[in-house]
Amino acid sequence: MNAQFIYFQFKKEIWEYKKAIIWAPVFITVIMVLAFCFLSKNYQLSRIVELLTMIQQHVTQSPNVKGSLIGPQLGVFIPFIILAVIIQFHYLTSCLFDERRDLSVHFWRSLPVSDGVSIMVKLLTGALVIPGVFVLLVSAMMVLLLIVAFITCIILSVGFEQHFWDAWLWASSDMLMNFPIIWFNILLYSLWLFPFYAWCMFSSMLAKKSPVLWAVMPITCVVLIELAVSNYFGFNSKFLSDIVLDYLNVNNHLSLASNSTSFILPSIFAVKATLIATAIGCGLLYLTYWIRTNRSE
Amino acid sequence: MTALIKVQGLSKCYNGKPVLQDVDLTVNAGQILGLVGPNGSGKTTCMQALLGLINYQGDIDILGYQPNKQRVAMLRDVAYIADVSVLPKWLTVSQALSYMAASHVNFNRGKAEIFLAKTNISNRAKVASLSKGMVTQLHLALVMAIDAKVLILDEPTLGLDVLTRRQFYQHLLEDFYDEHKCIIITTHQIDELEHVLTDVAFIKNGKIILSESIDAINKRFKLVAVGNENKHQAETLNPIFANSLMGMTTMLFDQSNVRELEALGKVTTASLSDVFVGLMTQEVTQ
Repeated sequence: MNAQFIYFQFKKEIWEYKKAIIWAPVFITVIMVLAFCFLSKNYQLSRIVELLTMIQQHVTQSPNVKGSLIGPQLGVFIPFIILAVIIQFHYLTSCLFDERRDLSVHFWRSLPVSDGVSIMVKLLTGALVIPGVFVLLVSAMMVLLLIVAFITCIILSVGFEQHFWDAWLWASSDMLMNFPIIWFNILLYSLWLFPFYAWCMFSSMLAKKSPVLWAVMPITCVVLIELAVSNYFGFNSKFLSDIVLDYLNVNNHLSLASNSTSFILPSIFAVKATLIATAIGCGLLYLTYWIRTNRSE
Repeated sequence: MTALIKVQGLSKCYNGKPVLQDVDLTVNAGQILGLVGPNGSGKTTCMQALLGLINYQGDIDILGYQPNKQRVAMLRDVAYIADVSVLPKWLTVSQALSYMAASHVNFNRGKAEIFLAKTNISNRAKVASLSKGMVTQLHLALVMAIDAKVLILDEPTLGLDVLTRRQFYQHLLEDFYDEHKCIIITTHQIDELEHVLTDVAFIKNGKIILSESIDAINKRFKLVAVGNENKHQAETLNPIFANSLMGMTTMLFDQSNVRELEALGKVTTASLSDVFVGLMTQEVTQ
């Protein structure tokens, strides 16, 4: 198994889901850039100078610029994160179902590529490649915007005889320093959500029709049944719903870390990605593999 | 002759219902075996077991590999076409070639391109935009460019017109087959395949009921057109199949004395489809 072999397994997934993996992120990037251009056009020059002066003061006063800039930086990421989650869900629930629906699984399985490799490649595509493409594009977009802003600073420095550009350069360098951390976060984010990814793939493998329903309905049914039972018997807590909600809830961790200037996401994901959840994810992934290997289509 | 495929005691059950029962089969280098049976007889299950796509009981040896344990290694030397319409619709021809070249150690891209150059299939075309015949040609180009010793075809020409079917088998014989390779084909269209096959195995209810070379079958089974005057006498010789039409009865005999049969009517060599129909309906007539 060489690098080219693995590379083409990923490339195959990107070919198949090109619209979702490549074109959707590109589309939203273009929309964001256009929105930025449109807003900048209507922004008064005096307010830009005001903003730059504020950043300059902030940079000279605050010793840790990196921590203070991660907030706005993450704000830019939010539309991308939402779309990435939707595409991840779509991809992971479709990847094993689509090839069975169009019978192409017979072609893929006639080639010397093991089922284990196929499933791992699909998991990694959903867990890392899709968010990776989004982060890559948003990073490129931010670098582009920083360059535009830097050029604007230089031009304004000439006109207003104020040196904004050095502050902006300093802020930019710190924003760029945040990118490796954001990339590192994808790994932790994937580890945290691994059980859900595995569940989506399991649904995709199991479903004969509508894998999205297979992914959503069992969880919804269990939660509703538990709710009905706990209401009927007057229980205070709802065991399964609480576990799922607690696993997904990051509000407590965010409020605890709100005073910290450090980048908080790694610590949240490190706490959230438990051994039991990872073991459940591994179990679901193995079941997915087993069904693919043993089920006659 | 070198045995490339050896199957012994192959059995498979689905929900307790036997689909394959104690199947024994040997395919040697140079043989083109047709696995023929009615719908639901176990042909596809047999092919899936040969390819290690399902679990099974019994022993299968393909080129020294056990398909259920060494599927990936085996598929480097075994090519397989399940059905011509299984190529994914989103795939382009150049993507298919690139993927095959990267994923299959025995794939020769140049050979596939030479084959495709003879067709009117563009490199940039998507499978979805190709006709069924063109998809067949593309699939065939991909498979024939694999330096495989064993080729397994499961209903490869299902739904294709007669011209495309003939082209398919012509390419198979001219561009793939040699005396060091073997081919197994499952099909219903035995009339067209009769001149292609060297051997045939009839499968019924999961059991191989006949496995012989085409020459042996031609010698063994005779078709006699019996007039009404000799009908009673012919029936005493236990024909395996009889069909009456317009005052003439056609009877199929297995391993009977030719001179004895000639006394009853005109004797001809039974076609493969006559033998197939005879053997598959044997229980009904008896």
